Amino acid sequence: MPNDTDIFETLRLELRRGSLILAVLGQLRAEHYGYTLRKALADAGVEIDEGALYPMLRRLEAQGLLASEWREEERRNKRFYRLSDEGRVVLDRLVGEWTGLNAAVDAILKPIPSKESGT
Amino acid sequence: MSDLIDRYLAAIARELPAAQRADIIAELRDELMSRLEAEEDRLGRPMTTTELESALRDFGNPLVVAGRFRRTQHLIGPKIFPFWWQAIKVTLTVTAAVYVVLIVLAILVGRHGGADVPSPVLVIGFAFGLITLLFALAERFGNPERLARRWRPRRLPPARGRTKSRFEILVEMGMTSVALAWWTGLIHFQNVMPGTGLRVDLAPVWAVWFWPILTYMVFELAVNGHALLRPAQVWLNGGLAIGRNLTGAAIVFHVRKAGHYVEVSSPRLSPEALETMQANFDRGFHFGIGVAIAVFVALAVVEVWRLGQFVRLRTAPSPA
Repeated sequence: MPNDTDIFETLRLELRRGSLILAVLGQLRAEHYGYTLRKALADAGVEIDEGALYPMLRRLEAQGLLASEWREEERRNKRFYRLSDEGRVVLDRLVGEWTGLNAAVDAILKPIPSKESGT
Repeated sequence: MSDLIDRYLAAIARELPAAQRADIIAELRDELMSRLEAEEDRLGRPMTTTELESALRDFGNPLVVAGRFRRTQHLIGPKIFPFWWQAIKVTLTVTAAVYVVLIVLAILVGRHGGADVPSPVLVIGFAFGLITLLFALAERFGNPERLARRWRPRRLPPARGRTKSRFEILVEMGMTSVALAWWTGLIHFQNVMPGTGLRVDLAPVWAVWFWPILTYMVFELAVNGHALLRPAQVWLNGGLAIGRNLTGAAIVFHVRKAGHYVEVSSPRLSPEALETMQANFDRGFHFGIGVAIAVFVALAVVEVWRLGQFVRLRTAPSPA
């Protein structure tokens, strides 16, 4: 039977899943290759493991939201990703959704005033 | 060090689609090397084989790493899973009912012909595989959302009242299927008693009633099938069940008039012993058919009671 920690971990992962795409698209407004993208996200507080990141990058590229090219850097071939024009439009719409959802959830999560306070 | 990395990446490559293999591996190699170099910078020395092995284990099992790049991530997805599960439950219930009947008959009348009836494990395994394959195809090429929308609230069974349960219906359908298969000669049961050499064949009266009995069995399957698919039509289902049971009672009532139901023969028994045996068998069948008539009538009465209860509950006020 799952304990409280397992349940919390599952819910935390579910909560993060949707926002990871937003974070990746947002980070790729500037060009990155996989490793630096992952580092940049981690530095910003969004940890993502490579097992999830690389398939996601390919899926987003197949959907036309990202563009990529191979270039040599630091003596190795690296694949650089950046947001495509279509990706920019989708990101703007997603940010709108995110902001609206955040405001709605924040309003719901506001502390409920107690009866004693008279409010 | 590089040998272990090459072997690791080759293991991932083997599981990737050929068209994307080189591209994905090149990218993963870069990620892996960048990560290992960063770790070596942190340590200030080259990594040991044990440390490298641990880093590769952290990177992930090759099957899992490669699997994440695959378009299909599951065989039966969450949208189609409830339908798959329902199909599996129905199939297992019917199969179990069929084999329970076969086992009971095998105990009563002797071992069933092994060539005619495959092993239950084989049948269940085959049914499970076939259903899973069909649903996996529906998951991949079909439209699970459309499947989920294909239901109508008005077809749901009534919330109150004792209609026949889905399990009861399925068990009955399984039993009828066995009887039908035996009646039409698809499966055979041994009719020679081991040891005595006593052979029991059906008397000519059954041949006279072959088509009515066959029609009755098909009718019974259809009535149960309708009750399964359209449980909301309580009146129609109840009426059909009453009609079916009374038809069954009428058929066996007419068969019972014959008084002679089986032909008993044996090369080892004397004519007198055989005659006594014949009389005993016919008496036993006569009694058994009488019980069958009573059961048919009782089932019809139960259906009438169920309909009465349905009317009573429908007109009674709902619980708070």
